[in-house]
Amino acid sequence: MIDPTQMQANIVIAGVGGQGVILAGNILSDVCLAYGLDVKKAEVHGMAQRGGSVSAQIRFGSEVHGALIEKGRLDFAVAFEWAEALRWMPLLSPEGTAFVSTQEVIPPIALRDRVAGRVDYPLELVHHPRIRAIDAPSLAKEAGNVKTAGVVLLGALSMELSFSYEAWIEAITRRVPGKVVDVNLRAFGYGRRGKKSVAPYSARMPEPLVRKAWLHLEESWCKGCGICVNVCPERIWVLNERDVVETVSAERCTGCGLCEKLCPDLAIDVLTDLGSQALGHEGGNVLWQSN
Amino acid sequence: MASVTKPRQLLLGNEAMAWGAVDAGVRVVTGYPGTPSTEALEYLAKIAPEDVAVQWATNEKVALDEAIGAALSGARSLVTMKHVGLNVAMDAWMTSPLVGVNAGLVVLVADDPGMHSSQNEQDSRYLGRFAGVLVFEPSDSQECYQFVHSAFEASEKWDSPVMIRTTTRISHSSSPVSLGEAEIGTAKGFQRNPGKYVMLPVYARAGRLRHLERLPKMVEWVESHPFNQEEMRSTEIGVIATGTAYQYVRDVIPEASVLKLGITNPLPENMIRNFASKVNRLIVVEESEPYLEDTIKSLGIIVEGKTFFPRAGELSSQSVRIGLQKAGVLRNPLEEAKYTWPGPVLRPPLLCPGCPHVTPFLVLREIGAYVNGDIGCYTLGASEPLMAMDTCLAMGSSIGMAVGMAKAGVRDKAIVATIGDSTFLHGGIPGLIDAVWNNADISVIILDNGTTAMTGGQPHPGTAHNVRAASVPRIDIAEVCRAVGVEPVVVDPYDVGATHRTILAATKKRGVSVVITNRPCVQAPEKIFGRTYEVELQRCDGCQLCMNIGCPALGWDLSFNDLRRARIDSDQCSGCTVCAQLCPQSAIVPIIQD
Repeated sequence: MIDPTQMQANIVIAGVGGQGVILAGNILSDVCLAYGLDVKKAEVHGMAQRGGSVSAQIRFGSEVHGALIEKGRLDFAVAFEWAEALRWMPLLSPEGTAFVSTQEVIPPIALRDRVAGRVDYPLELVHHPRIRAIDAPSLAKEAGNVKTAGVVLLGALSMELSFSYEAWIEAITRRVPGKVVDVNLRAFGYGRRGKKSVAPYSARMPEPLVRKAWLHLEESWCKGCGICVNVCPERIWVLNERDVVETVSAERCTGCGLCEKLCPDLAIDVLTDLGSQALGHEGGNVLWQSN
Repeated sequence: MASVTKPRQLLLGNEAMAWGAVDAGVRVVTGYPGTPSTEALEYLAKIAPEDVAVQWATNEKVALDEAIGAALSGARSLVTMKHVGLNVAMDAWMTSPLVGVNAGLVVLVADDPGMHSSQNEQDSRYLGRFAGVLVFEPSDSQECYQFVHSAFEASEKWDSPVMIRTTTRISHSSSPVSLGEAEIGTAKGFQRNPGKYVMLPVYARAGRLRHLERLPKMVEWVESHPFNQEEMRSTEIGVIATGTAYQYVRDVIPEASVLKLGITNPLPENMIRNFASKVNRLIVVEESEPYLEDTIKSLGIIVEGKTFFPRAGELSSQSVRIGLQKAGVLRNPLEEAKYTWPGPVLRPPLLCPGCPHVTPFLVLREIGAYVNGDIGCYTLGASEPLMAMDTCLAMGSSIGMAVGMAKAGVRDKAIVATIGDSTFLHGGIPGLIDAVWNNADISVIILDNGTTAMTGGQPHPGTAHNVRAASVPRIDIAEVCRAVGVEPVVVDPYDVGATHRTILAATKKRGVSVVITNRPCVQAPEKIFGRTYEVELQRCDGCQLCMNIGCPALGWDLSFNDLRRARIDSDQCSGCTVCAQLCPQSAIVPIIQD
């Protein structure tokens, strides 16, 4: 390996809020500083942290200027979350490597398709020789705390850089709270050794059971109370100018049957292809349970 | 005297500026939280000696007033704010150079090109020039430290405030910093000088003349200032750059000659002319507006810039490279074999699990009111799935805009203003007074979560402490409303039914009504966890009603092929119970601990 004081690299650490991305960035930067290298680190603060993606771009070498990494010049991506890695892949250099945790954090916005139940999340295996999937959550749990998953990934990264093991240990010890130093060092060690135990990622999204629904409204029975308008989770009912309900975008109906159950005039029928099967669980139609 | 060598350390731009102020012997620090400026004051509260006053102010105007008052009293003072904050402080800002200082006054303004966390992107350098004050632009953390330190001296030399202008990538990037010697700060005290300090027209006219006399001398001074540096390399191409753009230029085209400007108002005209004469082609690379470019053109110098570089958003090495390719300075790279990746997952910011702002927006969407939003976490009430906000403009604007809607004759739906506690105290109170005074038919919902949440949980006048003071008088928002003449109704936003009834009743009232929701933020100043909930899978019929909350802890159970039934991530659930109250099947129940 090359002399660590001559190293230069562009690294991104990516994840979602609360995963310790900023901490991991600080540990890596401290190691670089210990070798007298110049370091530039760009972080995302503020609004992005409200459940959004968080990243730290780190560039180091004998002299670096801008903190932002250019397309095709990213040497290592370290992603604490499966889909966050994808955000950085277009930047990865042809020789670059991505260390990707198999941890998935599916955001609510990926669950918008409530009728078909499609999940907007790339779970399928991305077949790419430069991606190294690491079951960091399990290794972290084994080390004693699932929150050390990021340090497991740092351990894997450390095998690719010529900084000494001791330099990493010193930086981790300085940056993490005293009582969790041991578990973090253990996690780091698992990451370093875990190279071979890496399993390719092959999860498959379970198929949704789609409930086909037909809505029927007996207009003459509707007195325009608006209960269905208010309760519909998909907001497909509106009151028209005659104070009778009608549907807008009925294709959004998931067939839950709330409007039928609550209509005081029995004006709405929701028929589904699953019949009573979907609703016929233990406890049945709990809205009408007497207790 | 042998000095202790301080080790080189990695600091955020904001942290380095905080050290610059401490080592310059700052006595009074004030500001209002705003990304990307917030960490400067927060860090100062940690590192400044105990006898230095470090405090958040009600708003940026008050913050600047305080710093001017302190500077006139002979104490070096620092004010921190984001770019839009300076708009709030504009009145005091424009007159401050006429009054001058008695000890250094430095105003840190952090711009947010790219709008990572802002409602607009504006180039504060224009406001520095507008007021006729020195504008310093550091380009890394080391310069942040040095520039703030020197800005105090410059402020005293010129008897005028000095603006430090940063951008997100300066404030929020870290690089190594070697700290220097610290000065001991002293306060000289206040000496009466009404001719200088009282801006009666008769005195202000003299102040204006003093100011105009000073400007050309400042131009002369910057000509030889070390913060402006000519780096001669190839004479083929010369680049004028400042701040973070300088760093990108050095990365992308290391062979170019660069005129690096650390002071961008006033500009060193002769230095620029001289540099222009030495290179075959002159290009300005700057973030946001063509501020330097236009000024240099007005000197009669041929220069190119924004034809090649974007005016919107922030620059990067990438965009600087593309710009220089467009200009024909750099050659286009060879097309590489492309691997197509699936598009990245959208991950927009969200209200937190248990956020007390959720229920009011659920209710407002159901009522169908016209909702004027304001600046804070609750602006996310506009995004999916809540989608319950119709306008959002600037700090405190919600109430005034609601009054305007009412006066424009909007009657088909209720008119509502939603405003957070910190924003209400910052700029909402005059709006509420106006609404009462002009008898507008509006409802104001004050979302009181007891902190300035969006920027990370800073205290405000409604909290019983300030950043360094453990105990200060607390301003009671309900009492403020009463004093204005509205009896507010306080409601617990975790009680969905009560919140619904209260807001509905408020919107039915004539005149101004106020509802205050009173649950603390679940994230800051401390994390709140209650008893967590789970979904009884047999009961959930996949109606998706709970998905309308947009709670990050709520998702689908994806463990087997089935209807998309709800699942709660117990690690994230804060136990607010809102989903349990809404579930038509009563399928959401507390986890029973064995």
